[in-house]
Amino acid sequence: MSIPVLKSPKEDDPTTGQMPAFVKDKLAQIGLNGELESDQILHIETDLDSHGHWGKRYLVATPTRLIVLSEENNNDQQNGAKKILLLKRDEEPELVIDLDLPLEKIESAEAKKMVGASSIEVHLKSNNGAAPHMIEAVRASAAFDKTLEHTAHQIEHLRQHGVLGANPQSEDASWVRDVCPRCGRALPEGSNLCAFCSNKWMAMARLLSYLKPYVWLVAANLFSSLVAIALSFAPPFAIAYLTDHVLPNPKQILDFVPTAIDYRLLWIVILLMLTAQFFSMLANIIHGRGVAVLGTSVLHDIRTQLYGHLQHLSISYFDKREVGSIMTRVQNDVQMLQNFLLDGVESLIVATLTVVIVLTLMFSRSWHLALAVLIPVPFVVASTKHYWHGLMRLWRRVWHQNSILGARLADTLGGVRVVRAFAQEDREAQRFIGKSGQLRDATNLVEIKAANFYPILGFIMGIGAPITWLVGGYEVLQGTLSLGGLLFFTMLLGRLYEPIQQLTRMINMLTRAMASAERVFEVLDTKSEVQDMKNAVSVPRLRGDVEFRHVSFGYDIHNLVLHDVNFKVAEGQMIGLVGHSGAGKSTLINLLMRFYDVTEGAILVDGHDLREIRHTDLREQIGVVLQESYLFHGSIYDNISYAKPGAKPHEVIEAAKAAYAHDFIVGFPDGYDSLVGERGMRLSGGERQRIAIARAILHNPRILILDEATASVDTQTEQQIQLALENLIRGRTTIAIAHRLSTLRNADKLIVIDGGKVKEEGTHDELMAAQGTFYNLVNAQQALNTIVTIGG
Amino acid sequence: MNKETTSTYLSPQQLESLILVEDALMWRSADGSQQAVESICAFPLSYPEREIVLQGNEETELGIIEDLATLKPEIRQAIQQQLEKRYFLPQVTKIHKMTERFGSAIWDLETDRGRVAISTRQLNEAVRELGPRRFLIVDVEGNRYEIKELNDLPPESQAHFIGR
Repeated sequence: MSIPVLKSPKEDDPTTGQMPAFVKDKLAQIGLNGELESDQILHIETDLDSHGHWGKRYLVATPTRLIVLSEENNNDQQNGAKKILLLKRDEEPELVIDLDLPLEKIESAEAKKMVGASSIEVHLKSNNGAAPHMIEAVRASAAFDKTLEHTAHQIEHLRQHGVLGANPQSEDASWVRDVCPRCGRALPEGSNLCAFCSNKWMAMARLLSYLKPYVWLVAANLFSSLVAIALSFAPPFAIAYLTDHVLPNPKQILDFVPTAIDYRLLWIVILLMLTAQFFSMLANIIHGRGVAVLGTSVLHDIRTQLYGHLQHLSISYFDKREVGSIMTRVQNDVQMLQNFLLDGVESLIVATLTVVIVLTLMFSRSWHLALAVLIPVPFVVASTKHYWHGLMRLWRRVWHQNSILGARLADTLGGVRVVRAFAQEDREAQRFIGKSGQLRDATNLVEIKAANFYPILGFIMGIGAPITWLVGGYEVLQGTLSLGGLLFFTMLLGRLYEPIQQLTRMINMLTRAMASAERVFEVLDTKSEVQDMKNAVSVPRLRGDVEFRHVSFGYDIHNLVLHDVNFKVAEGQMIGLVGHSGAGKSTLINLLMRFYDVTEGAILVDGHDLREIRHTDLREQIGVVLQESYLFHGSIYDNISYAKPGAKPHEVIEAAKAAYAHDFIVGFPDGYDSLVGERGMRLSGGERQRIAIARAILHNPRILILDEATASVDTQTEQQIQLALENLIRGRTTIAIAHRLSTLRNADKLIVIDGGKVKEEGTHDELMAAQGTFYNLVNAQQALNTIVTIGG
Repeated sequence: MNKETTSTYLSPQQLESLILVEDALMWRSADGSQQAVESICAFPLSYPEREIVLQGNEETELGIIEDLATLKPEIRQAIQQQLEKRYFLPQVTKIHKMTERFGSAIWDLETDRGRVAISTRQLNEAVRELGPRRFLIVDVEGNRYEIKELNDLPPESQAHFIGR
C-alpha cells in the first residue's frame, strides 16, 4: 500500500489539456471555431487580473492568434479562495476578451519574472519606424512562474514554426504544480504528503503490517495484558465480599458474634486478593517485556529499511532537501514511532480493556447504578476534546517558538567567533531574551488554559462519586443493592473515568504518530535512483575514453547550465576544465558521475552511452577527488581504504606515500589509526587533501575526476600536493577542474568553458598564444595571486 | 574616500537625466542617447519608497535615488507604477480562518487584492518575522503575504494568528 506519486490531476502538460467549455464557447463567438479542434492549441489559466487582484484569466494561443480572456465577475474577489476552500464555483462565468492579437503582429513574447509574480510580455512589431510597443498579456502569482515561462516559449514556437514545441520528457516537470490528487491543495515543497487529507488509517494499517512477523508475540501480549488487568480487579471483589458476607454491617454490630469461620474467611479472602495482585504483577511484567521486545523489533525493522532505502536514493533527492531535515526525519520521526509503538499502543490497549471490563462488571451488578455512573462521561469526553483541541493549537505555537529559539541558539553559538569579533555579545543576548520572552508568552497561554482545564475536569470527574453514593445509597436503602455492591462501584469509579480521559487524549498522539509514520513511508516510497536500463551493459574494465556529445543540461529544464558541449578525452589523457565559477564545470562532473542525466545529447564512455552501462560498474571505475575533501568519522586507515575495505597495510602505505601523506601520518601519535572527526576536523586543509588523494590512488580508477581545491596552503605543502597530484593523474584518463598553473601546464588539453559553452580548446601554450578568453583569465588572476591558481 | 568619488545617491543635477518619453521612463545620457529605465527596490521590505536603484540596458546601474519624495510628481508616479508592477506583495487585512496540522497549515486570508486561501508549511517555517508585530507569510508555492502590523487586524484575526 503506497502513497500515490503526485502529479497534477490533469495531464502532464497543463497547457494542452482540456479547455473549459465556457472558454471554448466564447472563443467560438469571436470566430475561432476551426482552430479549436486542432491540437496545436495552447491554453492556460492564471490567477491575477490586470489590476493585480486575484481573478481568473485565460490565455489561449493558436498558430495564428493570441487571446486573453477574463471573467466578468472578477470584482467578486472570491476567486482565490474558491479552489482551496472547495467553495462552490459560480455558474459558468461571463467572459470578457482582454486581448486578441494576431501572432504575426508579435515581434516576440517573453516571460518576465518579477517579485512575487510574473507576467508574459508581448513586444509588438513596430510599423513605420515607431518605437516597438510592449504590452503585458497576462500576469500571475509566483506559483505560475514556470508555467508562464513555458507558455512564453510555446508562444514563440507557435509564432515561428506554427506548431507547439515538443514536450521535454522529464520527471521533474517543474511547471506541473504539485497538488494533492484528493483535495487539490498545493503540497509543501519536497513532499508528497498532503497534511489535510492524508488517510491516517492507511498509515496505521501500513504500520500495523510491520507486526505481521510477530503475530504470536502480539497475541501473547494481549493475553497477558488481559490477565493482568482482570486480576487487578481482585480488591474490589474482595472488599465487596467481605462487606457483604463476613464483616458485620453497622446495624448488626451490637448483636454480632464473630465465629471462627468469619475469621477464616477474612484471612482467605485477603490472601486470595494478595495472590491475585501478585499474579497480576507477574502478568504485567511479562506483558511489559513483551511490549518492549515487540516495539524495539518493529522499530529496528522500520529504521533499517529507511536507512537502507536512503542510501539508494538519487542525488537530486538530497540536493533538493536540506540534510538537516532528512536527518530529523530519520531520527525524530522514527523516535516518535518508537514512543507510539512502545508506550502509546500499550496505553491504548490497557485503557480500552479496562473500560470494557469495568463497564461489564458495573452493568452486571446493577445497571441502574451503572447508567448513573456514566452520566459524567459525555461531559468528560466533550470537555477533554474541546480543551485538548485548543490546547494543541497553543502547544504547537510553543513548539514553533521553541524551534525558533533553538535555531537562533544554534546560529549564534555556531558563529561564536563572529559574534565575539564584532563585539555583539550584548546584542545577541538581547535578541535571545526577546525570543525567550516570546516563548514564555506562548507557554503562558498554554499553562493558563491548562490551569483552567484540569480543575474543571477534576470537578466533573468528582461528581461521579456523589452521584454514585446518592443513587447507590438509594438502592441500598431499598434493598436492591448490597453495601458491598456500593463499595464495589465506588472503587471502580476511578478506573472508569481515568482511562476514558486517556482515550480521548489518545487521538492526538495517534495523529502525531501517524504523521510521523507517513513521513517515514514517504521516503520509503520515493523511487530509488535512476535504475539501470534493462539491457544495461556490464563493462568490468573500462579503457577510459570519454566523449561529451552535444550535451545540454539544466538542473531545471528552463534554465540550461550547459549548452551543446562537445569534447573528447582519449584514454590516459589529462584534460583541464577552466572557466569562471558558475560557468558549468562542476555540472560537467555531476553528469559524468551520472548524478544527473543529460537533458539533451549524450556522454559516452568507451563508446557506450553512460546510461547503458551498469551504474555500479561505472561508479567503481570512476574515482573522485572533490573540492571539499570529506573524510568520514573513523581512522585514517578507514578513510584511505574506503573504496577497498580491508585493504592490506602495505597498500595503504603505498597510496599514502604516493600522495605525500605518509610522513605526516606517521607523525601522528596513532599513525594510520588516528581518528579523524567529522570532516576530518583535526587535520589541516592540506593534510585532508592529501588523504583524499591517497584514497583515490588506492581506489585506482580508470577515469579520475579532480575538482581542485582552491584553499591556499603554504608553499611547501603546495609542492607536495602538486607532486601527489602528478602521481594520482599518471596513466589515468583525468578530467580536472584546474586551478593550479602546474596542472594547466601539464594538461594534454585545456577546455575553456564560459556560460555553459565550450569557448576554446587547446594546450596551455596554444591558448596563451591565441590571446583569447584563457589568456585574459590567466592575466587577470595572476595580477592578484602569488600562489598560482586561476579561476575561482 | 577622496573628493572625486561620487556620493552613493544621485544628485539633483543627475536626476535631471530621468525623463518621461510618452509615459515611459527613460534616462538621457550626456551624449543625447536614451535608454529605458527599470526601477528596483534595494530594500523592498525595509524601505519601499527609498533606496531605489535605477537600471538601464543590460541591467547596468544608472544610479540610486535616496528618497522618492524628492522627485518631480510625474517621475515619482512613473517609478511608483513600475515598482507596483514589479513587487507583488498582498497585504493581509483579515484572517478568516487558520487550520493547522503537523507540518502544514491552511489559511483563509482577506488581502488588499482580494480573498485567497493558501497552503503553507508549519508556522515556524512559513512565518517570517520582519519586526515586532510585522510578519511575512510564505506559502508552499513561494507567494508571500504581509501583515504590516498585527495590531491593525481585527481581534479574531489576531487570535487566529496567535493560536488562541
